Amino acid sequence: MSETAINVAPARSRLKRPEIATQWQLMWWKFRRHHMALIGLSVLGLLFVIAAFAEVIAPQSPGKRNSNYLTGPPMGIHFFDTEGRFHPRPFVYARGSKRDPVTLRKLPVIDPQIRWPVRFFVSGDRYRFWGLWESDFHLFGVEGGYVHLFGTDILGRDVFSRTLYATRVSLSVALVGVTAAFVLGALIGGIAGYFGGWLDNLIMRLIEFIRSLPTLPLWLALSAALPRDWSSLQLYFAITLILAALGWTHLARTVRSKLLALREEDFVLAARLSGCSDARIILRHLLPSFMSYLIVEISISFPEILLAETSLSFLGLGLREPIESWGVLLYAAQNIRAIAHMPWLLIPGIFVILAVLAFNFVGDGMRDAADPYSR
Amino acid sequence: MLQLLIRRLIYMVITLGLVSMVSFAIIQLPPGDYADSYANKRQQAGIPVTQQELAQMRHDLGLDRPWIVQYGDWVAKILLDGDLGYSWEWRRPVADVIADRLPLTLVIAFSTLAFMYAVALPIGIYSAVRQYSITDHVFSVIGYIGLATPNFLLALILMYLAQQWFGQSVGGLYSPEYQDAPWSWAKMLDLLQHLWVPVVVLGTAGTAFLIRTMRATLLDELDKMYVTAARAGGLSPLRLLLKYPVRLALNPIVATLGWRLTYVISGAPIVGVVLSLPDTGPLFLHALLNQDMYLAGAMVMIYCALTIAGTFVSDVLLALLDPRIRLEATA
Amino acid sequence: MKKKLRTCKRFAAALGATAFAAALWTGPALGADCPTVKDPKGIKTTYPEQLDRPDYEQQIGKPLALAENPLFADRVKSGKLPPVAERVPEEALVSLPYNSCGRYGGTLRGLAKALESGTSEILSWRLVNLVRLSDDLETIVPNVAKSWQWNDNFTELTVTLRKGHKWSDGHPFTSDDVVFYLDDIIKNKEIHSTTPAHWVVGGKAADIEKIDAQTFKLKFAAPYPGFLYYLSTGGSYFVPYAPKHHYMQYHIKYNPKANEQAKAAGHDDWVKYFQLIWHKWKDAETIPAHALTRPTLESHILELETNTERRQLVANPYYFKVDSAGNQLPYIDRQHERFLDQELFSLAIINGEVDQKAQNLGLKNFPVLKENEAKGGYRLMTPPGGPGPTIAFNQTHKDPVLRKIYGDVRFRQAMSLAIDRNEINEVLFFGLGKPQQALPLGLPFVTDADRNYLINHDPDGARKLLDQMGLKPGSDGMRMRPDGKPLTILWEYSVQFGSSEFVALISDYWKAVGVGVNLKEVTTQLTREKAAANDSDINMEWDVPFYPNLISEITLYTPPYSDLSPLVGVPWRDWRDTKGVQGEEPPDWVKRLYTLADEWKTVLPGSKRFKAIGEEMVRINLENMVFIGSVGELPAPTVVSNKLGNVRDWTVQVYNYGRTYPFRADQWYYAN
Repeated sequence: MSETAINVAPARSRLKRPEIATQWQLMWWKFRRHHMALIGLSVLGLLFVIAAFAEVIAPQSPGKRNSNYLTGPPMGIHFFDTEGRFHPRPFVYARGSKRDPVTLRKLPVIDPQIRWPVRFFVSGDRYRFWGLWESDFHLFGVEGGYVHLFGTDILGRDVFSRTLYATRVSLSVALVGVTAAFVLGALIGGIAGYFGGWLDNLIMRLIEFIRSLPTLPLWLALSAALPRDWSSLQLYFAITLILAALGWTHLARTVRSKLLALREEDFVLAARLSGCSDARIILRHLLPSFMSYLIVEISISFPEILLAETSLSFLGLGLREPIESWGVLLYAAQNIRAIAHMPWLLIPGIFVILAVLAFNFVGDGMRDAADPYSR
Repeated sequence: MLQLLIRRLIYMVITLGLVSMVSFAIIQLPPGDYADSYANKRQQAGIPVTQQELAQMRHDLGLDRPWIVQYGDWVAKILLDGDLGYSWEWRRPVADVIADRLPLTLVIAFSTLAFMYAVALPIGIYSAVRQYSITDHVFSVIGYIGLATPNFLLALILMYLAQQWFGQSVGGLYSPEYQDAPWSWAKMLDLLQHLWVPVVVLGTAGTAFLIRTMRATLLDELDKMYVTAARAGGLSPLRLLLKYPVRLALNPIVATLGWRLTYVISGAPIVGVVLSLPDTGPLFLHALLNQDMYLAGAMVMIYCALTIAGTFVSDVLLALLDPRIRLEATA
Repeated sequence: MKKKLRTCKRFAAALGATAFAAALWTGPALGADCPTVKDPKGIKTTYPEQLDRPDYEQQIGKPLALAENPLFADRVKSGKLPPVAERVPEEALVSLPYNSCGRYGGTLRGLAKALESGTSEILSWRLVNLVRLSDDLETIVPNVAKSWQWNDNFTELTVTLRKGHKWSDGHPFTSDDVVFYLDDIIKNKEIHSTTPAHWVVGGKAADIEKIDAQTFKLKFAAPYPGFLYYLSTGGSYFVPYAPKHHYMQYHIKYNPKANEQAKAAGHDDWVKYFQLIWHKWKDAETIPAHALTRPTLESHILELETNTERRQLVANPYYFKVDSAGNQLPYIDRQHERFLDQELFSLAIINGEVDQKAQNLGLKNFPVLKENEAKGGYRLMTPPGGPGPTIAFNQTHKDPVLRKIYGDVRFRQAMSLAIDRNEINEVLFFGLGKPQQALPLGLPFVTDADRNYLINHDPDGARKLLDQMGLKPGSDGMRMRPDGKPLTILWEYSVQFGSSEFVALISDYWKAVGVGVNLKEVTTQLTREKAAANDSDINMEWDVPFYPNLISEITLYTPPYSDLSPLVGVPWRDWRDTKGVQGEEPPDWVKRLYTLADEWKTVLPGSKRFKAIGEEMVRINLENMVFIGSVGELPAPTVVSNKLGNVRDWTVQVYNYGRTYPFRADQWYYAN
């Protein structure tokens, strides 16, 4: 028997040998076929980089007020000046703001004669990176003035910088929330599915009960009941835990139904016969076999929790100033004045949409990839 | 089958009771009570309120009793008198306030559902059949944008644009001149004009979800052997598509019909508030924020009943559609 | 589709306009002789802009010919309603319109947030009370009452009503209705377990004595010169009379079967029922069906049952005022109040759906509203409104270290100097406000020196004061408390009293002089709870009184400055109320304030002693920096449709002055 022909194959050609690729490799190949999922993945990657390095990428501190440029529209970066000359170093035109005498609106005043060149890797506002290390290193900045890529709000704070910092908060809330929901859901669903019987029944009734509770009053009440003298950080985690506490049911049901189906399989019987403990069976044998479905579930609940946090903050119940999340930033844009005169305040909404889209596409790709043997 | 129905009904009643109690407790949870929010509003209007008046009010409304007593009182009134209680905010019986708003809630809900299914199903089918094509991607993106956009954000923007571009009257479902007018074609037209914003806003998220589900389940079906067999047998593609895989793929769609309905109804509050719609959404939200106990409690019961009824409808429909489930149930 | 819709709309509009014009055409000819405020044509009045009918008839030398409002023409013809000569009292009030005698017709469209929220403005369109504050904001003029007379020491007030004055259902309005109100409602222990504060003077509830059908006498146990000020301004919403003929059937004193009747209607007892159908706040709708039957004296009465969408009113056929040409007021047929989410107010206004609006409009909407003036067919005015946010430090804080710091006047002075009020004015209020220290508004004895007390932006001066206090800056520049911990103010604020931007700005200024701030946005409920428990660092809920409010309620300017949400000095008040048993002994300046306040209540408003007391109270409050102010009167954007005539520009736009009450909305009309 030529065992050698079967087992050993050079690493390179393994790529083209689907018969011996691992489950994860197959999934990845399938995933790559889904173009939107790939785009989604790169967008997510970008967002996570932003979240991690917000202090560096943002040209200003989020709370810094620019009294010279209140309610200013986004400043464009130019390469060509008004006379058509090309400048290899991009620049912004000097800007100030002036109040319209009749409507009292602050309008931007652009001076095309003065240019503020954009410089990279500059020294700017001081910050503490993740609250730990002090630094003043910024990815880019402008010499002799200021740059507001997404404009400013009524206090003159840079919307671009605030959005970047908000990315960190929103994504981490979603991450913590999803993780907590996942742990809760997998645990409870696992127990229900594996042990079955009255335990399963009880847990199913509980799940049904929780799902029947209307979410809005629960959110409202739980958020409103939080002691308001907690620090911002504590409130922040409390909100994420609340979101998780309401979100675990869906995952639990999936886990349970999958387990119910799988526990009759032969390999489980084999494991039990060879003396594995229940916990080992659940964790080591059962869970990995439907890990793909779990991942898909997670990728679906991520945007749900993200949107939930945004909605809560919009209602004024979730996170609030001075914490910045996308929801908090959008809360300030929820009025006619902002929509009519300062539409750039809605840009964090685009980030929300992008994040949710990205997660959904990735989830789709994973769903497609989860069954690698299909078409 | 009948046994299943009866068992589910009993569960429903028990769940309803439990949910109402828990909700009552939760509504109570935030600090303060209706008297506080009343004083708040007075203060906002610039009308001074004294502690003495507040204490009087609390006593009059029975707010100084423990919540379980208030709850018991309320349930007793419902069961014995059929009286849902009194809304302090609107100063009318709760039943009247809700009845005022419920018809429009249903109109909006069903219009949205119709919109959702009418748009989502064809797109879902098309996407599945032409998987990974440009059109598939385009539709996906459009659908997902609807899913991803927080609907309250969309609501205010659409409302603003509707006023700027179409001069459409603001807020509510009717222009002021038609509000009290008797029914006529003009009034119907006015209603439709106002209806499109909430329907679009509420429907977009649900549409995307339906598209995805339709696409996914249809893809699963198209993989199956019988499709290949039928194709080999020479059936025309369209007829084949509609007669077999789509019908089967519709199972989960239909099964979630109930869920879609409750989603639309209970997802509406935020949108309703932003658009100032005269439906139960803003009513509910304000009742919660003002701790108008009985109104909020009654609304919770209604939503809960709808949710449970929705699940029930789904289960029944599924059982009807899928003989396997019926068999399983009797096994 | 759009084009068709537009044409459709245009057609409908044209049709509507023609119908409207036709309706107007059948209206009465304008009085040939129509003395107005602009051109009084020699008519002399004791009180500005109005006089009584007998006086007027004497001056013009003939009886006044009354004209019928076409709205009632049908009912008069069919006999359902008596003709106007019998509906309008003999001693009617003749109101001189501002510009011209108007014409009948139209619906005045307004907005409110909800049934009982944000409705005081629309209420003020139709409101009447015994007296009214004239638009000069100083003179109290007769309204429902024809005249009054105080005794020498302001303990007895004799009021005369108008002969022939009828309720909106045709029943005569007499002093019985006032007696019923005071004796059977206010002083009835079952309806009001504690008698409302404004009727309790010198520790005792007021007494009333009926002299004849048109005259009654109020007796107070102590001098109460501020009573009429109260009724004409902030108290105008709470009318001191009630239709006896309507309510007596629900009252146990007059109907022994009242309890059974209440039970039959589904209520526990007659008191609960009565409280539902009578409420001192007029818009408290109680039982909507009943509200339709409730008689009133106002210019408009409920036409349709109020629901959750709108309130609709129609002209009162028994309204007691006429214009100088004999037309019975009001000119405008209907008032329509729509309930809408506050955010949508400005959108509705730009769309031309609103005829008058100021309440809850928000200065921040100024640019959008101004831009769309022509498009929406309205003009935007900015009369002075309420003051900007004020900050009060809790000088009796539970924490002894903070108490020492906040209690030190130098700290409060420093905090005031650290604020850049010009920047706040520019950034938050469009530069429309005026930086000013926190003071009650409209006080005639306040000087510019008072207003400008410590409002200059002087961070160095602030730092010097803080250094003097011994609050040394630490290594990071932030100051330390005497016990070594960093000095951080825990500022829990509610956006109802100060926007999050305002708070952010102020905390920046304070951080710049080394005082740390921990900001937290909380609900109003919580701020009140903490204030009442003496547990807050800063309180912003000062319902800044206006001059007339102070006349009737001087306690608003002495600790704790508010009953609902005590700002400063809860323990001091406790000490005073329990005569030293509880609380803490207040410092001398507080004791002086209490003494002055007690004296103020007994002195005639406007007298020399009155002014002297006022000046001293202002000085004490300022020097002890109880409140730190930001800006003074902020303009309150007010929108008025271009179609309305006889609209006098507001000189103040606040609840405390009765909103539109001094400016006579009952003589507005649709000019086109």
